[in-house]
Amino acid sequence: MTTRIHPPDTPPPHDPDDECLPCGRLLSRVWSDWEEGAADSHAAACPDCTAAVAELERLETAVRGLRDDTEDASGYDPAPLTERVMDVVRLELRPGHPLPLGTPEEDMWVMEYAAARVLRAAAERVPGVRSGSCRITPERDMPGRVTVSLHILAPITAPSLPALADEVRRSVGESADRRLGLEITGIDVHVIGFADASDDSEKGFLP
Amino acid sequence: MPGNRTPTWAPDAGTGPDDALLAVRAGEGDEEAFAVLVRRHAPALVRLATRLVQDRTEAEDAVQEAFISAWRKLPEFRGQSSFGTWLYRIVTNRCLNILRTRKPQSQLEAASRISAPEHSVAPDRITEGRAAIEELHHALAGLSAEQRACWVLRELDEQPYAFIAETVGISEQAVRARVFRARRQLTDALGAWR
Amino acid sequence: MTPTALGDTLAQVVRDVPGVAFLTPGIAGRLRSAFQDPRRGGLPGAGVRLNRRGDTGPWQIEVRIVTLAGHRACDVTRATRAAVLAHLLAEGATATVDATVTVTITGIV
Repeated sequence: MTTRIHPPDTPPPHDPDDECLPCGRLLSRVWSDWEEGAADSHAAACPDCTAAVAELERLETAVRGLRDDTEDASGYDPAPLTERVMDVVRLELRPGHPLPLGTPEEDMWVMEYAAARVLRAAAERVPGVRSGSCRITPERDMPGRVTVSLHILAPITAPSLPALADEVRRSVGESADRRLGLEITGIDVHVIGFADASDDSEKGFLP
Repeated sequence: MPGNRTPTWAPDAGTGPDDALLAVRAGEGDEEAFAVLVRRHAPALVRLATRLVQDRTEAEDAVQEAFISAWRKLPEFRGQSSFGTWLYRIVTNRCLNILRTRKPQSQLEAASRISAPEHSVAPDRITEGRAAIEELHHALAGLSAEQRACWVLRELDEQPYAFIAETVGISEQAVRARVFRARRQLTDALGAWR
Repeated sequence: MTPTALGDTLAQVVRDVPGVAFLTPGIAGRLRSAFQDPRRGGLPGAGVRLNRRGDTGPWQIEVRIVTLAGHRACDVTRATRAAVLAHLLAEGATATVDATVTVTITGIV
């Protein structure tokens, strides 16, 4: 049990809102002891402390009522607010940089974020894998080609991480070829952690 | 035991690593990942903001702006905290700004802000407890923005002092002092009503 | 043919390419309603931009499209490019000389 004397930020003993009870204890201490559940034998017996606590308890009763009045988060429909937010977001998209498709003479491109969504989804076709960051970068010395860096969460049950990474690489490479037509020189797969097995329910938001 | 509170809602409740992945994707431009985050976090944040500013429309505006500002800042968000905690902080600070710019108002005006369910209750159902809640509602308008924010986070959102300190950006001691002063004013107000 | 008329015609040509979901809406189209189906909205030719130096210089044509997930992206851009060039050829020799066509996929749905 410590009485805070001259703490650095606030000086409760000099706080004009604080009050020394007739029993000698500061009101701030009596209340904080009550809040921390740290009441001692003095507090239990002292009529001044008991009265001070009773006052706070009366407040807490009203607080509980107020809390219940505003406890309606479960019934809140987030759809209209989400739409308003997304209306603004869609005016401020971040598509990333253009990635080359076909030969340089053909002058055809796909924006990075659109390609990244396809590749993330490809990684997640490997059971239990969740994908995070996916960066696709044009190769500086090989026009028309790109390299991929992908972060994944591995399923906790994966028997071998290298084998899992190979499987992810295969799936991503196949999608890059069959669904996009990107010429990929390399796919770096970084396992950044393990996915919660129960997390699978949330998988349905990628194409 | 009054001291042993279990928060009814933690910013990260039940979201697991999924929030972090979605935040990274959104930072890389995947707006659909962001939409999932908005839908997921909006209810709790609107509740928080409503408790802070006591006005549903203003609360929704604050949450909407917080999400838009989050979308803009996401590329720099490195996951120092969880997405939920980050948003909680942005919303709290937006509401603090709203409270600071609000002109001091009479308790009568404060009462009119609240779509109080008690008005639809028959007079004989208005118990002493109900009246105390109403009185508390009014008294809240008399607190300073800073006191009110700390008090609401502590008493209505039931957050730990350390979390509030981090959210508001002041020391834990300062949070405790603000909550104490708020309680002092509120118990006085309830006392006056008695 | 005026640039606007050519742009409108090319927009229709591009929309008819298999695998093209819709032209990327311009900022005006997105402002009008980000939640409406962009296949119905969007200014005509919002996803097609034309430039040429002077009245007779070669056309520089930029096409921005959103494609369907079931179609290979590269094949769709190639078909789009071919359709645009074929249309310019049909328009007459002067339109085709040195024309450049850039096709960019901005989204896949």
